[in-house]
Amino acid sequence: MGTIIDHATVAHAGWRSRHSALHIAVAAAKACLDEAGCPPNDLDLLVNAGLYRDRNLGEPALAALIQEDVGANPEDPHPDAHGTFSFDVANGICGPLTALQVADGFLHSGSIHRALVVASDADPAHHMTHDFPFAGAGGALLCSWTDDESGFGPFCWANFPDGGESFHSTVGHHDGRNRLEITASDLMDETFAVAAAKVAFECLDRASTDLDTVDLILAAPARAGFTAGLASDLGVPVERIAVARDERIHTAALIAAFHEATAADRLRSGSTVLLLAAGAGVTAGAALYRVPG
Amino acid sequence: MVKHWLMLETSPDAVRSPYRARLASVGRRLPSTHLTTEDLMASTRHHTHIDLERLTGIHERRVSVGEDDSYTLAIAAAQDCLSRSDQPASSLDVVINCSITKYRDGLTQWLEPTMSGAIAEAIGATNAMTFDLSNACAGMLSGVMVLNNWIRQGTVERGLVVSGEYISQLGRNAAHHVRNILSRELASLTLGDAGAAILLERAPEGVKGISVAGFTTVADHSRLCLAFGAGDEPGARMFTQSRTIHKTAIADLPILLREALDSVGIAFNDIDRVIVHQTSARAIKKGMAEITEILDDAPRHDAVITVDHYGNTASTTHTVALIDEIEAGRIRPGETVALIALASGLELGVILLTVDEELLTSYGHNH
Repeated sequence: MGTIIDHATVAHAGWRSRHSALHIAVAAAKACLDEAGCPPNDLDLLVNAGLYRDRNLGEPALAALIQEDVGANPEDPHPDAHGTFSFDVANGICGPLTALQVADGFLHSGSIHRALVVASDADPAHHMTHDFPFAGAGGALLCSWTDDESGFGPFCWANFPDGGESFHSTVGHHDGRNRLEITASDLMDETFAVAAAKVAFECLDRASTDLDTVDLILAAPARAGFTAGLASDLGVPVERIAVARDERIHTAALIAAFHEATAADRLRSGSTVLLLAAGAGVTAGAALYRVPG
Repeated sequence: MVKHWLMLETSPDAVRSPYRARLASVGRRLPSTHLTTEDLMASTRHHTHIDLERLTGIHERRVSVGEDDSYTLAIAAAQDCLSRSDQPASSLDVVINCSITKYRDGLTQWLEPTMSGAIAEAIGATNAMTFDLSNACAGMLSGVMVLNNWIRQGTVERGLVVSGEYISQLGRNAAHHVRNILSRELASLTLGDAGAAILLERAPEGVKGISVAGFTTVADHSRLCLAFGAGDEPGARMFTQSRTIHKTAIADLPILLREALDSVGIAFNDIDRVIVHQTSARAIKKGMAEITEILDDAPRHDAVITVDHYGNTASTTHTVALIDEIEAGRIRPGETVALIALASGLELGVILLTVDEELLTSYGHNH
């Protein structure tokens, strides 16, 4: 009994959308709904977890713009129909896991039947940043509820506050312009791996299980340094950890890992997957997922 | 099955949502500097010929003159909130920051790590999971919607919804650009700074707490109010079509309010206090009159207005106004309060809650 992911997609920035997280998110969302055969109007909830966006938009939530562009009940309320509620969450690279937990709560309570989790990032605009380190990419996860044994178990979180020393990003006024500045320490991936491993063991403990029962670990970020550190801290071969092919994908990294693992037939029906993410904060989250089917 | 336009959470479900959430305490932080509308309008670059005070009913707003930023406002509000509760910060399962602005050390907006993580660390909420939620001026009530859902299911027992809005700088930027009453940056001149926090916890048996929480996004109107980082000025700029937003909200709210009220079988007249998002005193009065006429029913008291002395403090307005009402002793135990969200998106939401004696006692009122 739990929230299941019906479909996952990934979208990459094209030349025209390279500065638009919105366009990338809409492309991912539309493809996800289309491939799953889900009409946009079936969505009850849309949660966006992307961070780096068009001109650093502060309001409205990017999710509202995505909802309009996807065409999910954008019209004024009318009787005998349902609308869509949209908002953003921000939790760095852990954002999609947070969004899944939010969706899981409303699916579990029966308030909604279908939710779309979206995340995308793009270089916010010309002249706003030097060497934007992340790929222009996004992803979408279509979720629903099942009463059988599959789906997500409890979500586990842990914070290891470092004041942003491992990784931080800010928009500040420098030399007469607002600029996005992103700073990562040399120890970032090592630190994130330690945090991810800690929360992974906590998640397994709470479920009274261990890594032997886990068929695949899906993790974010996708950087080799993080994956190697995580494998070592968990005491598993690195092959048991699946990450996005593109190391530069940021908030959509976990979605891309899920999408690519599905495409590679690594998410078999009935198998158990551990989703793991660790990022700035340091914040780490984990959840066990039983693949439906 | 009856279809609701709102994403709605109402009566408890013994299996899926066996608990209720109650408002355990509320807290706020208001900067000490008062900026009058007269002084703000005197600072505009152009001769605007706008009587903003007459237009909006805003006499003054509180502004940080550098001593506070989004983080310090939020942290101070969270500490105020916790100080009115018996619970230590270590008992919090979750801290959700819901502000639009995330300015720290002046006008540097922090994107990562989260502001919620910094707040949790500052107040000693060492066991709390943290994340930020962003939904324009509906942020805090959206946070309440999420936390209420988790408490009802028993996923968490206690959590803090918090926000710090150091947003008056948008008004300072707008003062350079507004030329006349048609300016789309006019609404930026109504903004004030504030921090606010709401502590929600699992309610004991028999305590009513939050009875309804419902939200929707009318996304056809998502581009009526846009705020983004200014190119060459510090902070941000906001462009708003205020009249269209107001008109749309008034057209859409009655059907949504009726849904929320019907879901618990009560009438508008059963609501004691209505707190809507504070944009303009005139808009609130006019809007409530129109809604009352459409519903052919009215709440027991006029809608609360605090925008006249605090301005529009973005995501914190409902909490700031609720505290004004509690401090003034205008809310009695057992009274039902409707918090109505109206924000860029277009986000429309309703939270119905019953205030209990314990909450009022934390503000020194004994009934």
